[in-house]
Amino acid sequence: MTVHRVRTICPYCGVGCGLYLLVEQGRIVGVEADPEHPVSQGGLCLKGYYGYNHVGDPRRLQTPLIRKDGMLVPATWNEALNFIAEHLIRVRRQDPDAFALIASAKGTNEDSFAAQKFARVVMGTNNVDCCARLCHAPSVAGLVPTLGSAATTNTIEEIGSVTETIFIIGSNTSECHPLVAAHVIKARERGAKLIVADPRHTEMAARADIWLRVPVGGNIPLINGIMHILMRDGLINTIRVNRMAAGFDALAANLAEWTPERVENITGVPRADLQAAAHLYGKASTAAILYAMGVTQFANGTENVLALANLAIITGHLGRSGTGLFPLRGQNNIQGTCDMGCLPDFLPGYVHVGSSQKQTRFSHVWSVKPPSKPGIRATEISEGIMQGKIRVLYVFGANPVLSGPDTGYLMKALERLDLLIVQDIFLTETARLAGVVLPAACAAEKDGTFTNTERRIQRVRMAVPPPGDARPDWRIFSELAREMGSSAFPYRSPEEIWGEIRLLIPERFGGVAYKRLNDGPGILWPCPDEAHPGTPILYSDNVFLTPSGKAQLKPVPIDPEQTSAGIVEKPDKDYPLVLTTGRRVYHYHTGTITRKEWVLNQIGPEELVEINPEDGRRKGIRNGDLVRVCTRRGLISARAWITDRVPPGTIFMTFHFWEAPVNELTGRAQDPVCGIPELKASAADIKSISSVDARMIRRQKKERYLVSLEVPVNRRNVTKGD
Amino acid sequence: MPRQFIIPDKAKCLGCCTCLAACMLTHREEGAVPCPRLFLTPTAQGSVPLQCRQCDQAPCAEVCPVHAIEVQGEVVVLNEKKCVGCGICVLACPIGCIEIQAARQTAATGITLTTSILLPLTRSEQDEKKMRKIAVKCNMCYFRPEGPACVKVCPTEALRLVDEEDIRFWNLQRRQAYASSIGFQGAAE
Repeated sequence: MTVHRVRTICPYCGVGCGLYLLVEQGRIVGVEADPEHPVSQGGLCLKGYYGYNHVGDPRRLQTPLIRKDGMLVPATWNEALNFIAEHLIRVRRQDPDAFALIASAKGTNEDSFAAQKFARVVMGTNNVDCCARLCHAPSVAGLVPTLGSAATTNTIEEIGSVTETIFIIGSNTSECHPLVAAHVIKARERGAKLIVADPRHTEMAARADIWLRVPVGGNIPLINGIMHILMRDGLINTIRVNRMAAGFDALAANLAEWTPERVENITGVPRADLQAAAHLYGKASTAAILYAMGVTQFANGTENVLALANLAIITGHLGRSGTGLFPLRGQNNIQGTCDMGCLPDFLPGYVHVGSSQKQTRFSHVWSVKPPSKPGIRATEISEGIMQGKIRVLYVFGANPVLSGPDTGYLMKALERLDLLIVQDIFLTETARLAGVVLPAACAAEKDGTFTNTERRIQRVRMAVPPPGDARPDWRIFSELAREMGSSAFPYRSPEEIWGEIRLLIPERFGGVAYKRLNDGPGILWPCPDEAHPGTPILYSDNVFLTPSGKAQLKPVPIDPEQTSAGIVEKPDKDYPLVLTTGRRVYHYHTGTITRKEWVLNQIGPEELVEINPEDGRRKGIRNGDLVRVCTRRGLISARAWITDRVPPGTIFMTFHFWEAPVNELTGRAQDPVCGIPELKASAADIKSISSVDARMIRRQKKERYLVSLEVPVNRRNVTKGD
Repeated sequence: MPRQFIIPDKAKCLGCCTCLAACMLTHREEGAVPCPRLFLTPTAQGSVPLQCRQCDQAPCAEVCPVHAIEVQGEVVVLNEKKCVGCGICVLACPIGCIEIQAARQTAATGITLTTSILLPLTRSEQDEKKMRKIAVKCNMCYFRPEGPACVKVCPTEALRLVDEEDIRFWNLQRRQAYASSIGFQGAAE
């Protein structure tokens, strides 16, 4: 039997590794790594290698479903689109802002573009957001005003081949971005130094030259302390800083009070370690900062990012090969989804919705003036529904019922909607509550482009046809728009959509033609014309994308009275522990895909709560015991893993398992600037429980998330065709 | 043929579990108990995957009461059909790289299994009794012409296939370094 090899991009994290799907008789039978890929260079992690069986899983959605008498029953596309169009036309007539759309970061650029265009042009609202609100919204809010762009400044390959000092903060790189970690390992082999700042003893922390065990929420004192030491020891070239950046004097004044002694008092990080780390970073000729959710998912996430930007600017570790800031993106196309304008305040290409001058090109191409009032953020939607402002919610490739925060409140809100539309590849926990469910094609079943965490636009190729009546997302939006009488979606292929994107945002994507992507290793934006090679390094020659062309330093003061870490919900007598959340290497986000992968689920079959031995002793919990974890918002059960990976007083859980849905526990405290919730810190308590109690809690969760609903489609009564 | 075994390179391993997944899938396809034969072991310098060293005088083979473990050529092979799950090999192994796993047959997915600490809550105690206990250890994927799967998939090439040729070479290098330290300068083949 002949096996075709289809060159495409891994659908999991933001690293965007290259792979070949091996296809035999319309089925994917294996994966090979792409040895020529500039990032992965012939390597893949276990999700890339073994996470492909979901594509042909019998539980894939194959037909639209409409709720009738409380049941989701199969329907034709005509019925489903008619039903939705009728609803949406009514909403549009009454109040377009009563509609909101949560866009997927797993779709292609073309899917994301179609989604936001649908919201803006067909519905007439800016109520469109994506899961960047839960991950890198602070990077946008923190890096756009300081540097001019929130994107990673340099290529990942430079970390492995050039960088002298690598500073990883708030990123569990080897588990969440394994192939970036592989470059860090490569760098270490040629003698580069590694600093890791993390409360947890992660695999990266274990391999670091200096590990700064900063407590959850202690980033700002730590970074300010590093800058204080660099200033004190004369390692800052003030003339150069003043030439390339504005606001240095104010920053220097703020840093004066951040003595290592004060930082040690607040964070517990020994001053000698802090000084060693500062010198390693400051004295290096090239140094890069890698950061992720441990920096952003805080109520002061934007300030955390500002502090990092300050550090990179004053040390001059920007704009040259091997330097830079790497906000590591969690999803395969979250960079692209933001670039495509799935944000309530930005049109594609980060044109602010209120900027009337730049908006004209959109009005011109779209023949409709996009709305100028910024829309609602994803994290404000549950509140918006409760207040009666949002009445129809369209969830495209997202699972907020598990990805949270405070999902109990969100689920209550979803009940109050007039209509919940969910478009996905499986009947997710969110889809089970929907009024209409639309079946979508997954990454292996469609053509298009992904943009990885280093701004590399790469071609994604169709390897197998979608199951049943499932369709690519861009096509669903186009058909729905036509059903609603819009002529703005004449697309016959993703390439036509990409053509419109190039026309609208020529300064970034003008030169990125499909034919260039087809053969090459992808192109890093900005790439204004077809002769342009793309831009691996942003801000070279220290010219920034800010209006003045200079970087903007923004001091990050904190309350001078503050004597402990800056988190909103501090531990107290009733909830004495800090619960922090994250991911593990063998699962991906809410587990919609990876929990269906036999190999991955077998390696990680259940949730494990990381508990420090000291806390274990105090609470009488042994390794492998079943425990109940509770916060002010709810309780869940899981198994205890007694380990030094977490510091005393802190416990760690992931959000991969519906059996232990940690986002029932997280709170809604938000960053006032960008609206990211504080997913990294909630006050919690744990208690050992019997297996009978654990089983009872499990049964409750099973009922709550309607787990029994997700049965293979071929066991349902399916009506085909439209 | 010289004897071979696999060792992890501390400087390269990420602790990313890709080797474990490859091991599991390869053995599943071979009809063997589908679980990793590498054991991710936490240390202060990070987790490290460890596996059988294929000892010449393999203590596990010596103690096995049913002769399920045999030294076949350069590999110590465990015959799962013969294994009675008594666990004596686990006690005998000097490096702790044999483990008893629990496997069970289900209609839906074929053989599934889990390590004893990770018994999911879905299973009742009766279910647990139905499970077959079995010993698992690395067999160098002796059935696989392209060699051990873990070595092939490791993204940082941290797993190294060591054979007697390598050992002879390293030994020679060390002796030459020693020789130069006592005055005999310059290497010769």
